[in-house]
Amino acid sequence: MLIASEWAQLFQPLLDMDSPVFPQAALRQVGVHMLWGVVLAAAGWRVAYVLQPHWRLAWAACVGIASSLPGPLSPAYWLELAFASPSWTSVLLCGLWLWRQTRPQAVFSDPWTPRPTNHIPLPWVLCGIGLGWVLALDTFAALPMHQSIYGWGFSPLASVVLMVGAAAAWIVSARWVHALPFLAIALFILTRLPSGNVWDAVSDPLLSLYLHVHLAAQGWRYLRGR
Amino acid sequence: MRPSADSLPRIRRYLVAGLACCVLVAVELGWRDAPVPPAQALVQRTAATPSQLVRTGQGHIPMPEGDLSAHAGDLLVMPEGHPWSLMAFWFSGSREAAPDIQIASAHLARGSDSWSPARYAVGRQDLGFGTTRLGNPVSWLDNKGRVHLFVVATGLGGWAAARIVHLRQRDAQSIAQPHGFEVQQVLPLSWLWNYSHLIRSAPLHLSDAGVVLPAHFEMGHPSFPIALRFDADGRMRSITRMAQSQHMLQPALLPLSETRWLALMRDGSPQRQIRVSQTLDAGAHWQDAPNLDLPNPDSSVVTLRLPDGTMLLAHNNTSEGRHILNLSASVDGRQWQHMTTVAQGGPGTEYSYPSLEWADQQVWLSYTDQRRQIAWQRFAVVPHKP
Repeated sequence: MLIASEWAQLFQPLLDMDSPVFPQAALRQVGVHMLWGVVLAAAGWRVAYVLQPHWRLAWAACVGIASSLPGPLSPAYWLELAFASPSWTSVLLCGLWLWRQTRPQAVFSDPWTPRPTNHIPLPWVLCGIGLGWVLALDTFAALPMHQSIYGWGFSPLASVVLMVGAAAAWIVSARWVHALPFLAIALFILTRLPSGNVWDAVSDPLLSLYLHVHLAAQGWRYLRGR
Repeated sequence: MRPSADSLPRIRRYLVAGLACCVLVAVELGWRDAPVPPAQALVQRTAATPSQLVRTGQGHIPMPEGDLSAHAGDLLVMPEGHPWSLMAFWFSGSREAAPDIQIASAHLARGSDSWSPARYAVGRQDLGFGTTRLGNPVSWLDNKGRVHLFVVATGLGGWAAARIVHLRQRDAQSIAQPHGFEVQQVLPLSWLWNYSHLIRSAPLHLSDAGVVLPAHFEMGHPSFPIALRFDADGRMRSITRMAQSQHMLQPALLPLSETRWLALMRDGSPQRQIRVSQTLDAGAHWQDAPNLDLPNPDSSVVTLRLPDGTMLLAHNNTSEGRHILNLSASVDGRQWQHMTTVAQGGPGTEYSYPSLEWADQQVWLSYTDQRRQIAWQRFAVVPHKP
């Protein structure tokens, strides 16, 4: 049986705060194009709702593939300048949404009509908004704590705690859509993209803004339906 | 239509999730390097009274041909046995924040007073993703003889959109060639698009051959210092916040002992005094300390601890304007006495952004001269005679 000191030794690597792992430079170069490519393809699909489905699909594919162009020719270059890289959560949400929209049985309609397939589980929306606020306030050192919460995102403990929490939520919920945060953290652990910091993998400021809008829209629909 | 129910039975979900978690924990821990043990500053002696300085030379570092603007010079001491005693890096171009700004460098042959012609060490094209303009450079020579360069580079926007890019010389010969650096990474320092982190002052060398690089966050009024620890291989290991208060910029690290360090900082508040933070445990924790009794016109300060224990501070000794640049000395980091006026002009003139180094048994100082050139001065150290 393990005694206390052995348990402490076993878990010590988890508590290590000064051994961050960053993505390989080559992987990061490819990853920037790939991550933005998925987001851009979803955005391309969304804005081209006036087109026929097959043209719309071709347009979305072109926009996504264009992000693999080198240097300033790539939209990813300019998006990276302004917004750094999207989180894995954003990429998976865009990918999932795009897949639902483009599969053969999907009914194509204008994007502004409320659709059940746009639904993001409310607990995840609230978690995403809350996390966004904490990280934004931490950026400005506006929280009453001395240590940087962003800095904790380099530690293995942060990755493991978030992963276990996301896995538990998936098990309890019994819905595939709840596996998305778990998948985002798994992809982060395997690739270290986008930055080596788990907070950048699970959330980004654009996603946080989108979740605010999404929550407001859901609330408006709920009030209107009462 | 509700999201589809998971087709896996609950027990299988437990197994899949449990197995995936175990594999991912193993991968997560397997990636990790061994933690870095606590390291201390390299402090040789302490002094009872500060040594005196005698100016022994001065001049200007040549500019790249056609460049009209220069700022934020940084000196780097080359190792003994190297044909160069010093290198200088600064940003140079048509004007500050112009798209044509590049990081220029020049070197000083050992035993000589004449600097080499300037060359461009880093341009925007060397940085790849995520940068449009270049700013302050800070250099570090690691114990393998490789020069690392940390450069402020902006995304879309001004300095509030600044990020810190870590570069390293490409190979042994590339340090003498134009554009001889390659990007290691854009340092990930914040969640908010990694914006608003800048550097200015030299890193503090540690006993494990790593360094602590002082940096700061600055987005409008909120501004606070942070310390970035790098190991001997140049990998970033940790981020530590250095102050509880705001309006502190451009920390310059000054070791009082192996574990007790001060950070003297530019003041962005209306107080206009040199701000101070201190650590008693070699940078693990920092606390605010009382301001120095020295004015600061919202301008960069730099520090240097000499081998005999004398501490030097280069600073604009005014509340407004950067027209006087002084060198002061101390033995405790709190009480400073004026040593010499480095440069002085009329109102509106600027002598700022100094850099201090100890090379060839002398003190070397560089500073921005009217935003047009980088000037240098050299001082011999004379022990204090009561």
